[in-house]
Amino acid sequence: MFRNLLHEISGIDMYKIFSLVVFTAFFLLITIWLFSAKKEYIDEMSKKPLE
Amino acid sequence: MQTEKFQYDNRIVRNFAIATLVFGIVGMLVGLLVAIQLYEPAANLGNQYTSFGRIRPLHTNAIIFAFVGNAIFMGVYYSLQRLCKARMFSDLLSNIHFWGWQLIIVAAAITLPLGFTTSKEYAELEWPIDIAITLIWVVFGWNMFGTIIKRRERHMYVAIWFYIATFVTVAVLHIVNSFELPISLFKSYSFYAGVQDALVQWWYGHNAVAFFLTTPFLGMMYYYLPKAVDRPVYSYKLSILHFWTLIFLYIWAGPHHLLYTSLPDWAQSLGVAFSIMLIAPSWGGMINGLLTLRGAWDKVRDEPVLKFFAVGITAYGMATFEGPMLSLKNVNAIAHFTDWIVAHVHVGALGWNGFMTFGILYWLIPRIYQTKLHSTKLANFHFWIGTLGILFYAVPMYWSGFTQGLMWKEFTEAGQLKYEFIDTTKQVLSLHVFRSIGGTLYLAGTLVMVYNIVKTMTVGKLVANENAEAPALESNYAPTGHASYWHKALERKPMMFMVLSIIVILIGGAVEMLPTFLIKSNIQTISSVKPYTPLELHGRDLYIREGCVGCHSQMIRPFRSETERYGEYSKAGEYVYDHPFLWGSKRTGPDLMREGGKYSNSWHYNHMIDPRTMTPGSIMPAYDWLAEQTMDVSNIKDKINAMRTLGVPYEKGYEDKALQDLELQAKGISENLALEKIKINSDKELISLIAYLQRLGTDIKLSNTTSNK
Repeated sequence: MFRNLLHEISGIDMYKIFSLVVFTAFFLLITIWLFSAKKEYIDEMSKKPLE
Repeated sequence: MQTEKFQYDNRIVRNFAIATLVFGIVGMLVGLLVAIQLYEPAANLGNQYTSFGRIRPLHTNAIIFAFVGNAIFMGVYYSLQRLCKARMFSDLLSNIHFWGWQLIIVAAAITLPLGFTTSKEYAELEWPIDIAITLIWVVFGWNMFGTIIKRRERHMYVAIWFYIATFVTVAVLHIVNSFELPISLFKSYSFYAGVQDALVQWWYGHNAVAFFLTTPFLGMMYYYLPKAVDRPVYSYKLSILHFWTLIFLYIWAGPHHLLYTSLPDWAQSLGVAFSIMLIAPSWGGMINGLLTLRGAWDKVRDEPVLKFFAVGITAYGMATFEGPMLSLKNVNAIAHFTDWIVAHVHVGALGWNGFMTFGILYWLIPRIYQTKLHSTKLANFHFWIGTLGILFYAVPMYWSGFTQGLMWKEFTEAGQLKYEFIDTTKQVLSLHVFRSIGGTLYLAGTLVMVYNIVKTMTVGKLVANENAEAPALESNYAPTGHASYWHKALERKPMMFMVLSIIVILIGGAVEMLPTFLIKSNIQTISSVKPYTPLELHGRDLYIREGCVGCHSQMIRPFRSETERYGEYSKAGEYVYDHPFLWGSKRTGPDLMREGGKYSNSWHYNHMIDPRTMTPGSIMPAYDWLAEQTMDVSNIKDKINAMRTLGVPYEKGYEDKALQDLELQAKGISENLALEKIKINSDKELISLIAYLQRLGTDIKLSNTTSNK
């Protein structure tokens, strides 16, 4: 069935590297956003459950 | 700004709370019964409906989907309304969700003891119930998104993010893992086979833990903990980082359930790497939770709610540290298939899910009943007996796990295995007794809580519709400042947020699974591996029905200690016709991968009638009814056709000859048994089970392995 669609793929190691790159990029993106977020916004958000 | 008046729906919260209590007790009682069966086979009660293999899934399903599931809905329905400053989107949808979910639970409680099971762990329910789950889950999502969309609160607090991720991921997991081809109303075959089925199943299984037992509770932690302690969460920034990294990483970790198996090596490595990375967000969450209590530990001393939260979050931290450790290959080599895993999951279930649920119940019920908790003293008692219960449960199970793992691997100086499998069974028996005492303590505490809550409910009066007011949102709001773009993109568009969450979780799943499906070289075929005969196929279905996979693995890992004990290690190509795969995850009994030809038919017959005549000290239940019940071969044609549809190469037209072949093979086995003075008709169920057991692993025993890659 559909597992036979592709028979070969070169360099399966690519998957590990791809995963690492994707995660690192993702992680950096969020970290940058967090550091650039305004303090008032963060403070306001953290008080939401107590309103 | 115009203030709008509206009412929170507390009745639905109360309903889910009651369901949580009821199914908590049921699930724990069944758990206690299966725990006792593991040292006292008579506790199987001598009938098929209460035998271990059939009710162990009942226990796991009852705890995960009935107890924890209802607790999630209770916690979400209360907090979501408050965080959105809006009543639930539709009372009708709330009620359909509630009653639909309870009906699914009842259907599970009926079908599992009857032996209707797919055998895939935590996804045992058969296809009609799978469809019902999908529909009810959609109702839940519809209701949730409806509420979020009509909210009177500009921002979406992080708890809601966790709820959204829970909804979308569970939906994806459930649908992908439930691809099955129905044969009859209560029988289906998994769409996937062997290694692929295993990969999909543990991608599901691991992420059911992640997105059913973890993310909704983290969302609830971020709401109820600040509420109970009356101060904001320690770091909101950390909670955002926690959220995105957790949902991104979790989805990759599934293959750590399949280390040293026939799964391609690169997939195993990926699973390990991401499991280790998972420590970071998990501990970020735990630290964020515990630090929220900083400066408020005096409150923890007096307030049982906070005690439950503190221990619950600590248990989360322990389990999420242990998980990555267990996924290291060298640790996993010892821990896998043993009671260590049972200890691990119960630290999570009893400590994290249980204690968080209890804390929320103690906090929430007095509020919606506008009264005080009936007895703080009893709640404190519950806390201590519950904690003691967890210790009495976990410590013996760890001990038992180490014992099993080490004894299985021990060699004598002469180079032979030091212990028979049954020696390890006997060795850990007393530890299992202690475990059931731990479970009893925990259950006793839960009963005390039920009494306390019911008392509270009778003293107070339910505020079914709680008045509230909030200003309506301005429609022409224009966010300013730095965070405005992100805010617009994410929080103001919950659907966009949902899509983004799906993308994040799909990346991991796709990278892991697609190669195994698309690249032939990942699963090498073996020319001597042939499809099952109709009788073996029937026997295999009985093996599934009786839940044999709950105690017996079919996966010999490439260790000397395993190849010496069980035979040649398992190859991926041996499973290509296995819909579903039956690798198992626990060795309460020995591995059966190469069981075929090891013993005579008469040995199997006697062993199934009374295991202890063949293996003194065995804790396996007797399966004497299999010798009395007649095989149902009416749908053998459908089974062959279904298997062919799934890619098993039965010849064209073979379905018409299948019954004839089945009867011929059965006759052979009954005649063989007659030689040993065992009288059994060839149409009895036991015959087909013996046929299946005698086939196991023989394909590559008979000839040398030839790979035709």
